[in-house]
Amino acid sequence: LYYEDWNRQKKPKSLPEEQKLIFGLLFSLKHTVCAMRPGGDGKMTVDGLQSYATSTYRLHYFETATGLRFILITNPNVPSLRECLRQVYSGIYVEYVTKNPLQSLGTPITSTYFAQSLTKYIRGLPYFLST
Amino acid sequence: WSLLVYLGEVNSKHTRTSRMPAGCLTLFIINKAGGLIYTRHFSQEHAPLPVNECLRLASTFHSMHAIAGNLTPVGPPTGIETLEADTFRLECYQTPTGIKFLMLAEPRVTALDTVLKQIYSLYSDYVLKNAFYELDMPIQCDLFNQKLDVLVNGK
Repeated sequence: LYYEDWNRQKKPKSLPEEQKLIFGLLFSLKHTVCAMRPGGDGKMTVDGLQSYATSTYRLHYFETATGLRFILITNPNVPSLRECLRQVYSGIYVEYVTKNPLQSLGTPITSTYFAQSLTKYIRGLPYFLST
Repeated sequence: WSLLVYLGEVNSKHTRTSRMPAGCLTLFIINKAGGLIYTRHFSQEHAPLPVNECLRLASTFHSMHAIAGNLTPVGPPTGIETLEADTFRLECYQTPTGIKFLMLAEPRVTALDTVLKQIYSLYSDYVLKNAFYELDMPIQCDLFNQKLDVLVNGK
């Protein structure tokens, strides 16, 4: 529904391809995590996957009970930003998207207020400028 | 036969034995084709996963490791190294030969990557130097199991 990048160095060959890849990867990763959970019985849960890291990047994942997924990709040394994603959901998404009568659910987000406040919030995070 | 026994004795003097942090749950070893060649459950409280589940998880993880590596926005692709979930964390160490050592542990455990490197050195000592072991086949070496137990229990 929404994509934005700041400070990205290597452009992907094609953005829709990459988005599909991310979606597929996260879907299977989430299922695998739920199956692997010790003591769990393999049931799906919203809180299963929280973040993963490779040596070059870290991906933070937050899913709401309504099925909305927030994904943030950062440097590998940033600690878990799940709370920030929760803030993005409750403070920015709910404010500018859910309460927007012109925005119908499931369509790409075009609100400029949303984009502006999101950029302001992300740039205000202490981890933003550290490389 | 006597030559093999001698090798076992020499290696046990040189291996560093240090305690695995409490809370390690499971170890998987995956070969470079994505097949599971070793499983070991360390935790007593949690029931171990059935064998088919383990096989399926290992091959799924192998593909996801590769895809996640290709998604990197910067630099050369490397695969998943750590994964955090709510009830466990997972660390993966990929050797230059393509073998992956996967460890599931409780969230409070730290320094899993040094443990994984120690397991890798145990692997190279007791599995690869075993003349009867074929590469990429399931691991069934008693000495390797024993040394892993020593690492876990600190005895």
